[in-house]
Amino acid sequence: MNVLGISCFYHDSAAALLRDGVVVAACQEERLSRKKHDSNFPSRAVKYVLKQAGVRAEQLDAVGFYDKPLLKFERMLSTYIATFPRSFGSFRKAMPVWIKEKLWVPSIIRRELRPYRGPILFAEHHMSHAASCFLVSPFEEAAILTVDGVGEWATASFGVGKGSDITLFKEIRFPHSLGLLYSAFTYYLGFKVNSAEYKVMGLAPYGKPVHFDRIMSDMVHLNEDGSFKLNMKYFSYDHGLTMTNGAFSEFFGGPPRKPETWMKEREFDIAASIQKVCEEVVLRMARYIHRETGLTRLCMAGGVALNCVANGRVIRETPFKELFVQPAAGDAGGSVGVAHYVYNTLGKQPRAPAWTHAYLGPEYDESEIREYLDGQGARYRVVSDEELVRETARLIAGRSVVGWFQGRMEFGPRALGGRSILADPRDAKMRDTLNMKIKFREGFRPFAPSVLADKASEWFEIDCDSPYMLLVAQVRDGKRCIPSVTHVDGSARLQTVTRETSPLYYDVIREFERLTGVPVIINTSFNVRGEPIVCTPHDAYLCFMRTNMDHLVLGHHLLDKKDQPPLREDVDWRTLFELD
Amino acid sequence: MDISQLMTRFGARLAHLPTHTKVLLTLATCVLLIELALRHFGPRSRVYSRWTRGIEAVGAVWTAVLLSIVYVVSVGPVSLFMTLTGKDLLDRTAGRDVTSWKAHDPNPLGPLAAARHQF
Repeated sequence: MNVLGISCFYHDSAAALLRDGVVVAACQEERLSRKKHDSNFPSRAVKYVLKQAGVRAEQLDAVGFYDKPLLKFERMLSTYIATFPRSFGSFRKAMPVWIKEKLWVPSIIRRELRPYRGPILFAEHHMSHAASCFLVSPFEEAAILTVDGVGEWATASFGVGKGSDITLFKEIRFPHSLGLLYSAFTYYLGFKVNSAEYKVMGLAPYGKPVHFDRIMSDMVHLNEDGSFKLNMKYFSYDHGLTMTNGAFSEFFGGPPRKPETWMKEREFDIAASIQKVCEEVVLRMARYIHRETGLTRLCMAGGVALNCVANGRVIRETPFKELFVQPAAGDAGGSVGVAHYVYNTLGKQPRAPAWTHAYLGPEYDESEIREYLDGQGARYRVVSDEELVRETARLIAGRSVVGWFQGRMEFGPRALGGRSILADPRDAKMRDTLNMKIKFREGFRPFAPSVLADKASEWFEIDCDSPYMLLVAQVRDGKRCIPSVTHVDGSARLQTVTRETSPLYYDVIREFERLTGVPVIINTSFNVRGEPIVCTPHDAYLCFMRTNMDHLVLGHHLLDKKDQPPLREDVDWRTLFELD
Repeated sequence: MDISQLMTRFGARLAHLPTHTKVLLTLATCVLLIELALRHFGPRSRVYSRWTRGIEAVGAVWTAVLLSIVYVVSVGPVSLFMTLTGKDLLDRTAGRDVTSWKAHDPNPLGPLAAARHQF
């Protein structure tokens, strides 16, 4: 049975294909369209997942859409009524898109999937999130927590999953939203909403949460059970085209920071404060859900579940013993969620084995890579597995920055060793080098480490796996020789790597350990600022040539920047990608 | 009735239309003919791209005008009614409740039937 899951029209559109309950392929549209957070119908992603599965549209048994458009429309109309006449600007901007596109989801799907004639099924937004984490988790029974900006009405929900069934018990409704609260602060701090929330999380350790008490007393009315209401006098996201208003600016003593301007202690403190609020809410929610369900395993999804600092605290400070976070916890993961919901929950089918990796995207074989490189006149060496591992580890240990392109692309926002840039974490200057010369991004942003899973607890204060880079843990006191991946507060957002899921990548880290005594390397996404993570050899080669990366590994092809001819036709990448 | 009679009746009808309607009809016909001609003879030409931008700008103005009317006429009265009856569709009361969790109501249609609908 083939089920296609689709999420789109808000941000991070994606498609996923299930065959007999197993995800054969999943891909975000942005990786193929090269438009960051692309929200359009994922035509390219659909085409890819069908091709990967070897099925034609008419061979699909069902198509699932990740939310209920009419319920969402009802929420929009209710909001316009409740905030009349301030909602005029938003109404005028949103209505044409609704009338033209969002109200016609079934027609659009049928048009794009012609000649498909089967059923189109809709799941609630938070049900899609819940299914995306529970039904692919290793747990037979678990509590589920989903938290994001907003779905139809719900902004957070919890329930229980057992076998193939999911029951959601309670929810918090719009406009009271932890995701939108965090986004409001993201906006106020001069970053892009629905895109740069992770920057606020990265900024937080530089500051002190001096506004925490004020926020909790005036802005967020938080209950003991983790539920909350926001004081909407500070926000305009319910009716306007901005997230915050004058009252919010007055609260923090100034207007929103202009993008790309210098950041000071004030911004650091605000980021630290909202991060602490977010963690406090999530912790209280988790404790309450544990009390209500009595379960010790938790699955999380929704954009807020990408807040790995909060996730780390959930596993350390709540009674939950095990945590599974969907690697594509944001809206892209909704495509996987709805496909599983249709197959397992509605179809009453048993679950397939749990996910062990997120390598669900396109793959290019050696001949395709060679053909492309030859077409570009690139100079390369073809090396064996052993030589590749030895040479890559030697280059990294020698302080080279290496682009690493292997196997299938990751599904979700993190590069996990399929499309990564690798570097030496022992070099204190490496962070600045990567930020300024390779990624061209803000200097404050930390880098994440990949560590051999069997050495993780030796180097970090963690006693569980973090295969999807969704947990933050402290670097152990005696192991502070990896400054480039140690944040100012001594923490790191780590990925644990096993040989079973990423053999070549594991071997490179192990070889690096043999050379240096350190089983940790820097792993950052293979892209520049504002660019989606590279997908094809072409994307990777362009990114390699346009930045100050030293070497590129494409499959078994090893390229040295010094040997490469200049790009034939090049443009400044800043004109191609809007800064995030 | 043959085609010439039909044309005559159609012409007579047009002749009786008020002047402003005739002007509008002429304008609409011209826009349609230009669009069809450009689409046929120069779909990738600079002229067609400029023409499209111009028409889109006109469309944006008309959309704004129509949506403004719809907003005031439809959203306004309902909002006024809600205000008078003291109802807040967004539950923005800032009171300190013991909990803000709301029950997640399962769809009365049942899961499978509910999944067939967009609501």
